[in-house]
Amino acid sequence: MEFNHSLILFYSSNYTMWANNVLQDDGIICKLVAVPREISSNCGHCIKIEFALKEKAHELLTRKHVKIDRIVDI
Amino acid sequence: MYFGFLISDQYKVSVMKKLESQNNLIYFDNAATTFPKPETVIEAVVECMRMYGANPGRSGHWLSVKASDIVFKTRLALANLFGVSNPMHVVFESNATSALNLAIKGLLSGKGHVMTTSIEHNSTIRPLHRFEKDGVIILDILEGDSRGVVSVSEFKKAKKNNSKLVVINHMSNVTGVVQPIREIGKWCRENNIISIVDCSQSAGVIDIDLKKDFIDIVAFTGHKGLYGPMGIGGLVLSDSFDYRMIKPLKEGGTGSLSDEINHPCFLPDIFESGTLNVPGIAGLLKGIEYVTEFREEIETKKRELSRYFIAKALKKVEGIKIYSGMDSLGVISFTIKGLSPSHITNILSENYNIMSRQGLHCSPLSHRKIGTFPEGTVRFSFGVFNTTKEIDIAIKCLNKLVKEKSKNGV
Ligand SMILES: Cc1ncc(COP(=O)(O)O)c(C=O)c1O
Repeated sequence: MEFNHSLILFYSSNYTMWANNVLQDDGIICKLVAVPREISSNCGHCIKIEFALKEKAHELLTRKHVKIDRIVDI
Repeated sequence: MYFGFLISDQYKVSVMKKLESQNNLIYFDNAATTFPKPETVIEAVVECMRMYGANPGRSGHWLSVKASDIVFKTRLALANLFGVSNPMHVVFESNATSALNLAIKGLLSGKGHVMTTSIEHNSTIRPLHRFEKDGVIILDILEGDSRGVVSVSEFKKAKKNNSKLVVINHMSNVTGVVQPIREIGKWCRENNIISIVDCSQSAGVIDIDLKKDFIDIVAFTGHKGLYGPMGIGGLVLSDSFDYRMIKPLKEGGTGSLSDEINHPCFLPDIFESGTLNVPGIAGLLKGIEYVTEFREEIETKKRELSRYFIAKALKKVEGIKIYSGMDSLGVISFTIKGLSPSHITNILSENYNIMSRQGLHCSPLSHRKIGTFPEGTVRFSFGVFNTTKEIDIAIKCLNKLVKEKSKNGV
């Protein structure tokens, strides 16, 4: 199956905003979108990035200690 | 003499115009809350309420995202200000009082020994005294030197096997005296004792770096030296501090883990139930930017204004006794022989439009320490928008008061 995008989910919007700032500061293009209900019951948003950038984003966020809930490819 | 006019230049015009329209009001009560605020702070609060007044972290729409972003950016600014690398270690509360209550009550679940100082504000001493009265803790209030300044040797002497917490007010809101937090922080770290610093008066005036100062927790308030609005404050926890030692005092909606009835156990959500004061947070961000930009000028200006007042008042005002040192950064307590503090501040306010504060300043311990309990003192506290001209006017008014007293035999 081919994926175009990944959704990075966080436990709380505080981490989502942190991640958004970290990714943008590093020039990684990302977008905040409402968390799809079928994926999680969390109120709020997650980060949508191109599938090709997933590993880079993951590595960067881990290095900066931004805790991720999970990554869902879509 | 250098008074850091740079600070005012950008902001002076609009601020001064407003004050002139209030009959040359002189505001010397900046330790209670700074006033006026920089225009940028006011604009940020209004912009938030007008343009993006949505609930942060709750909804998926972009307006909520904008609100969450300003909350994050303020967290980051506070983390930078206090030398912490993890912005999630910044916890918002409504002021220093609620922040200190969270830290003290959240930490003191079991028995133990706690040390504090004789210059504490009631926001520290009352919760600690409650635990003492309830038999949970043994409390030692260290006397310090004649000004209440404590030393490591005093802590060493007072330490017990079960010492678990030290709470220190960094800068006295009565005399302006400053505690050596780095030395004490270092000693606490070496002795495995948690340190909390109340930086209500010092934040924005003196640098505080949790890492370099070896401090575990600071409690800050946004509306004093950080020039933000009232109703916003919080805790900053050092990167190495294990926040799980603090039990949350409230639980509820956080916008996170909404499918669970278990409260989140991660920072900052664990301590931040309920909707945050986003307009206050937006204003605070501008306040932090302001004090960061003018950091050195602010310190210089407050020091110079204090020196100017002390030197001139001692020369010109008969019977004045000043309880603050020449090194004070804007907080000056004084009494005038034969005049009660409340009489002085009433006349200053009613007849001369000068705002100052009388009494005990929520710190009875400090007044016992300097020998002014229970009458208290008059406190003049200067902010960045005050001038030597205003001090000259105030000194003239104090003089008149003294003369009227001798005339009327008050
Ligand atoms: C030293 C000190 N600690 C704590 C506080 C409490 O601040 P807030 O009223 O913002 O909670 C004050 C305010 O006067 C203070 O001066």
